Amino acid sequence: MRALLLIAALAGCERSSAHTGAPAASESPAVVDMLEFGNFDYAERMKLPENILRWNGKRVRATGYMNPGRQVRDVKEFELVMNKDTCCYGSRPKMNHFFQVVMKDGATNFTSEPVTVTGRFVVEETWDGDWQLGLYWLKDAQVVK
Amino acid sequence: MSLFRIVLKNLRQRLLASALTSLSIALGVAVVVAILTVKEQSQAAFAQSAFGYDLIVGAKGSELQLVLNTVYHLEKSPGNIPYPLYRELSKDVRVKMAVPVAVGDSYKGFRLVGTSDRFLKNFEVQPGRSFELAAGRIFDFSEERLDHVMIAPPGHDHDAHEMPFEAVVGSAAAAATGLGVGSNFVASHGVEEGPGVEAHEEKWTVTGVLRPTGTPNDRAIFINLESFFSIRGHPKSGVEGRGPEISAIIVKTRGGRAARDLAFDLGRRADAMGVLPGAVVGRLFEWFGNVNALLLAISILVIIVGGVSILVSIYNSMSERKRPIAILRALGARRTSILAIILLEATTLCLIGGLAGVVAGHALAEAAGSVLRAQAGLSITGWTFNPFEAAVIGGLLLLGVLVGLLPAFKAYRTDISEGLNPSS
Repeated sequence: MRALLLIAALAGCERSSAHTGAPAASESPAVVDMLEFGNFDYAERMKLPENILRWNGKRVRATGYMNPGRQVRDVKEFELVMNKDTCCYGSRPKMNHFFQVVMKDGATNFTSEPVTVTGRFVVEETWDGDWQLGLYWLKDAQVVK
Repeated sequence: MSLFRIVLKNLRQRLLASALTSLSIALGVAVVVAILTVKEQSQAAFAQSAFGYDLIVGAKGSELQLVLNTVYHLEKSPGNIPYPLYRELSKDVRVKMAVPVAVGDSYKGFRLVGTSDRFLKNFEVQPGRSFELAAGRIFDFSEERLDHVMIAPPGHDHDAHEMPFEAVVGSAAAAATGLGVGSNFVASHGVEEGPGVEAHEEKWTVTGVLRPTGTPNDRAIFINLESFFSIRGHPKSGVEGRGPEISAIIVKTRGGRAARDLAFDLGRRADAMGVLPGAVVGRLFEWFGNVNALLLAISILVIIVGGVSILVSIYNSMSERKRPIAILRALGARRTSILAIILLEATTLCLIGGLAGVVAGHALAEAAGSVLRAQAGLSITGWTFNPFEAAVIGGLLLLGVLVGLLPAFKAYRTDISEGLNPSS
């Protein structure tokens, strides 16, 4: 898995040096592990670690579970979470523990099975007044599995 | 004599075998039709796949029971939660809006939902879609009055004369009960109908009727929550000194991780839990889908087995049919006519079984629907038709041709002289 991540990371770096600005549509997504994105103590408005920021704007492919929110069918936006919070002794859900997925076009239906999503990873702190809504986004996303 | 008359004569001669083979097809088709009919309507009954809220807070226990009770107005409530939790959540930074809910009474089988007017005014039926009144107005509700009722000392029943007993009726409940603006009704204690059901003394007045929403809310009768706790015999100060209690709290959060965060906190309490309805309903749909797929697969297998039994039945009868076939050939019937007779016989058996199966399937769906109507309040009838049934009949004709091919070729190749020879 580490080797795969390393290859994916290298592939991503190589592309980023070749392109600036918005990534090409044909760019193949790099496989990322959500654990890597949650593996630090996040504080509001902090500068994120470099191993996170290097993915900003890149197309990635991540696997996790859907948290459907208010919609079960024709879901156009959902949280991709690392696990289903089934352990009663687990920790409080953190802001850097989920990707907010915004579907490219069309929609998907909820499934309790793991899903693999590709999309453009964007780091963007969004707020509703004093309440933080999101940090990691997967935009123009597609559920591929 | 036409080919079809010959086929009918053949079937009559082997009536028992023909009836049994058709019966096996009918059984398979009946199950397919019943599944399609009930599935379509039950999915419509559980059509609420989108919510105007993110979290339901209720008594610790089954998440599914809490969602079925709060969202679909089915099942019994899993229990009560402390009323102060509603006040606590209303002030929580993660909560945009919370409404309390109390259930447990009904009118003619339609459940009464005691709640705040905000549920009908400020919550959405589904994202982006509000409740709309077909007639009248929303009931009168006051938080101050609710607090006053809930903190009344034990044993003190609120003065019913000061309390508005008002109701807003869902479209399906209004159509079924005949309730309209200005109507009065008396509620029954409990959600079951039948002998031994006790009627409350209080009388509600209908102030409004909702437009159809296509959700289970159409089957509910919403009443102002204070009136629920002003019913004689409803101890607002809680049972056995536990303090004032309600059935559930419906919460609209500020978004992001707020719902999961709240569910996490509530999960650590001993007296309540928070459930994300989307996840529970999503899993419910998955179970439905899996069970339906399994039942459909089994019934298709039954149809195929029925088809094979037709093949075996006709094929086995070929030896005793050698002579009649040879006579037909001697009288001038062409080989293709013999082929057509056998194919027509197989498809007729499939068609008779299929049509009988369609009728039996709808009867089965009606029987299942009446049980679901009585036990779960779901409005399901067996007498609605699915266009897919036509495809099933078409598929049966194809099956008839396929299973008829082997015996038909055997008949096609029957030698006239061999067939007419008495020793053959």
